[in-house]
Amino acid sequence: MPDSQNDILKRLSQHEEKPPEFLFEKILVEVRHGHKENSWQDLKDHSFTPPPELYQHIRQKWMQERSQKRSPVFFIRKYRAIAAILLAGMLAVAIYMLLPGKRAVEPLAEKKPAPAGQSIDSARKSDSATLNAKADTLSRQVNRKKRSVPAWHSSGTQQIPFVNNDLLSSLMECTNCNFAAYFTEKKRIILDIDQYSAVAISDKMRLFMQALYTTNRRGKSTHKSRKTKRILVRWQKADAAYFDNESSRTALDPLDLTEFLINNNKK
Amino acid sequence: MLQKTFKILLFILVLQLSTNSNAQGFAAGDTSTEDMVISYNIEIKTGSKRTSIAETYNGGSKTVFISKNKTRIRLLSLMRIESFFFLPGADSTIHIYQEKESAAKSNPRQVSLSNWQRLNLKYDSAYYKPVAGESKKILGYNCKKAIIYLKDGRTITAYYTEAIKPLRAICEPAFASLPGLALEYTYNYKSGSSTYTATSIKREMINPDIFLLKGKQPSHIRL
Repeated sequence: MPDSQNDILKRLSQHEEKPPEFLFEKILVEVRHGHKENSWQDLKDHSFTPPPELYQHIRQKWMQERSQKRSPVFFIRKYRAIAAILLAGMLAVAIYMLLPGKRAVEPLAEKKPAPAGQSIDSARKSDSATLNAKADTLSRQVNRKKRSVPAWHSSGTQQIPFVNNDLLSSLMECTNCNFAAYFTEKKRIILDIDQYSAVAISDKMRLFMQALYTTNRRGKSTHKSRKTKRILVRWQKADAAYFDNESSRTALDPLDLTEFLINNNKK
Repeated sequence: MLQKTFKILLFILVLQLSTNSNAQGFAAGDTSTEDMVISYNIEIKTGSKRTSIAETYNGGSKTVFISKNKTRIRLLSLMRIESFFFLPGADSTIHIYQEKESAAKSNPRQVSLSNWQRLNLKYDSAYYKPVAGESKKILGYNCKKAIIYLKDGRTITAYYTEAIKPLRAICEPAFASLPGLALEYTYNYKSGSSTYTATSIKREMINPDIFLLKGKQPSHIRL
């Protein structure tokens, strides 16, 4: 019995019958000439409002599916955004800390150099007075930037060890001294040696020596600092080679000194 | 308020008058052999914007200590501290010593007269020509302008005052021809120059240690 049924179905599936010739022609004409156009238009204009409970049901279903599907993605995206913000913040802080110029104390008001005729003593006194006046402000600024700038002596003046009676070496070697802030100020720096002698550091030199005291976040000297030190040591060697053990010239002679300095006007 | 301002103005006027009279006093009675300390500021111009070794001398100072028959000329800069001592010897001659102080071990050495002459050979037969009508006031002293001509063609522009006796010729051969003390001098070389300007002249008792060779150096410097 099943075999006979299968057989019938098989035969039926393979059965084909050609439609009548006139019917085919009629359908073709209708398709070509849009006979049904008006009926399509009618269908287009037709509107049908679904029952409200059906709408609510669809919406509820959709919301449920959305929350189930998208919530993990949303949280992942949220964490990514937070991580990105944190990373950007850390990067900004790192750049800020690494910038040598930013690590210094904000410069104070520029002080004009002592006029000719004013003794070094008086210039020094006025400097000390200014330093005292600015000390509190500076120490406050320094405390705000504890990591980058060393503390400032409240007295306003500072004593540093005189290494080998050499001023440049004293400034270079004294890495733990708290006078980096002096070099970041736009004011004249005067080094007192004794009651008779003092040396003023020129603006160019002050700016150059600023780099000597820059440190990274770990408190180590920066590449720029090491480079500056190398240059200073090179200058010391050049100076010693030119003047020391040489009986035909001396740094105390204005002509010998000037010619040496102008001829070695390279870094 | 007005009274207070008047008092301040009066104080400034009195201070100014006393300073002027002090300068004139030096000028009038300069024949004495009292101690004197003259400080010069050193300004170096390289003609270039870059920072070079010249900056280690720029802002330095030159100090001349004079006490009776002793003289010391000291150069003080970031790079170098060095002195020449002109001290009387037992045989009434002048002994010259050179001491580089900015060294781990200060080792003063005597400079023979022949070496000293060789060092200052360029100033032999140097002469000066006053520049008429050009003068300036330095530390209250009227200074005349002069050009010092060296035999090799180099020149030094100086402002000198006749109110103060010049140093002994042996101490500063460059200015030996000037009739007074040079309070400012400039040497122009290529695109640069160096200018030494007197910043103070003090007449006071000099600490005798200043004229000691291998003198005691300060252990600290003050910033």
